[in-house]
Amino acid sequence: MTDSMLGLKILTAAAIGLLLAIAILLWIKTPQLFEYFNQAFCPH
Amino acid sequence: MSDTRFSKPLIYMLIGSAIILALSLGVRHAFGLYLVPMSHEFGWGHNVFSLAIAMQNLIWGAVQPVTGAFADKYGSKIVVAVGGALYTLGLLLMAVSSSGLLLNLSVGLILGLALSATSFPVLLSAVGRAAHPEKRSLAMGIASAAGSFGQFIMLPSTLLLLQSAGWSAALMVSAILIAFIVPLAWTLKAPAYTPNNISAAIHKPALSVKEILVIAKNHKPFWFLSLGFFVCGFQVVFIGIHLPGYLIDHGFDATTGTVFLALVGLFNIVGTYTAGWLGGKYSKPYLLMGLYGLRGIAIIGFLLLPLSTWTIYSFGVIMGLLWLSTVPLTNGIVANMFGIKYLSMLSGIVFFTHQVGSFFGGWLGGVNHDMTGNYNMIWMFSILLSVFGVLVHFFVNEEHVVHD
Repeated sequence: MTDSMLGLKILTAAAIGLLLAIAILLWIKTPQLFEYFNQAFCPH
Repeated sequence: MSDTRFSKPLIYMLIGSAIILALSLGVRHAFGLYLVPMSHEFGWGHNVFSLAIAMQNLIWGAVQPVTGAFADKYGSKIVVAVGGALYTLGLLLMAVSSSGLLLNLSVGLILGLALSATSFPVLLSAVGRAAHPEKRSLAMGIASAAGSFGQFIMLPSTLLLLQSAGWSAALMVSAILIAFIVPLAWTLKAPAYTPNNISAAIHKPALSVKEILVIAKNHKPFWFLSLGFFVCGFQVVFIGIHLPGYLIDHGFDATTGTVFLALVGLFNIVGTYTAGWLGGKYSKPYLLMGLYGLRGIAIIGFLLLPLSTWTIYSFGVIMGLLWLSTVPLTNGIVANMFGIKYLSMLSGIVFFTHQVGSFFGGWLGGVNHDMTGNYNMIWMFSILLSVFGVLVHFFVNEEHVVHD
């Protein structure tokens, strides 16, 4: 494997890890998501 | 022995398709969040927005084989670029839609067309075409996982945007994000895989669209595969839309429901990638049989066990793992059956049945609840559909009907 390919793999893995962490943080900050869906779609 | 490793152009194409799918499916996944604020502002009943979304799903499914055929003929690059431009236009028009007619035009027609050009059948076929057959399923799994990730991250971020800037501004921001699909489409230029770099066209004349459609029509396993994908669409949309209502019926709060949705989203990423990886090692029809069987068992367990936050979370994890993991496997089987030349179009036909299943899963869930005040019948039907899913995939094989 060339250095540039290894670098690309490391960069991609780091980006995925960072984005996952951000996404989980965003979910923690939005507990009201469920209410939105419930209001939108459910006959209750 | 041929080199099965991903080539450099394929890696760039995989990164490009991953970002495109994440954007396209992520923004689409958050559309439901606009229902309440838009309906409230314009004094619409929920039926106005719901009709536009239902129209979108039907148009998306119905035109998918045609969009796929365009991608097969003119290349995924141009179809995805046009789709990205249409998607941007549709979102901008949605941001200024103040009537039901405009909403049906933007959300229903334009976004339905745009989604058919920027989602799974076109993108997975593009990466599937460029990958070595042994790595095709893995490549499709990686791209599908990115789509799942887009759904996972866009839902909370859109809500935060919506609450801080309002629905119209949130749509404008989404339009700007989606506009990046146009330049990203230029990453979809890795050459199609050909054994030993010799063009397959040298060996035999290419089949026409009409000829491949006749072959597909007469190939029963193709129809069994399509029927199986109906089950996927039905179950995913029924659970995705109606489970929050089911939890409310049983006295659970918003936090439990939010954690459930988050777990489905998070484990969906793991499930789609793993399914793609497993599809490269084991029989894809057998994997699909196992997958539909496990969905049935998970539903039975969820209904029979005493309902608690932990059974709900466990159900979220299991259903997340099984959520879109059908996608790389199903598309991989189509590629093995008919080769890669008409992969987008044929995957589009299979996808159409998924959309029909989605339509009935969403609709019948509501009908069942309106008539009986519970979801019992539709849960039973979902279990029966799992059995049906296992049975039909028993008759699916990966035998090459058309060789590349």
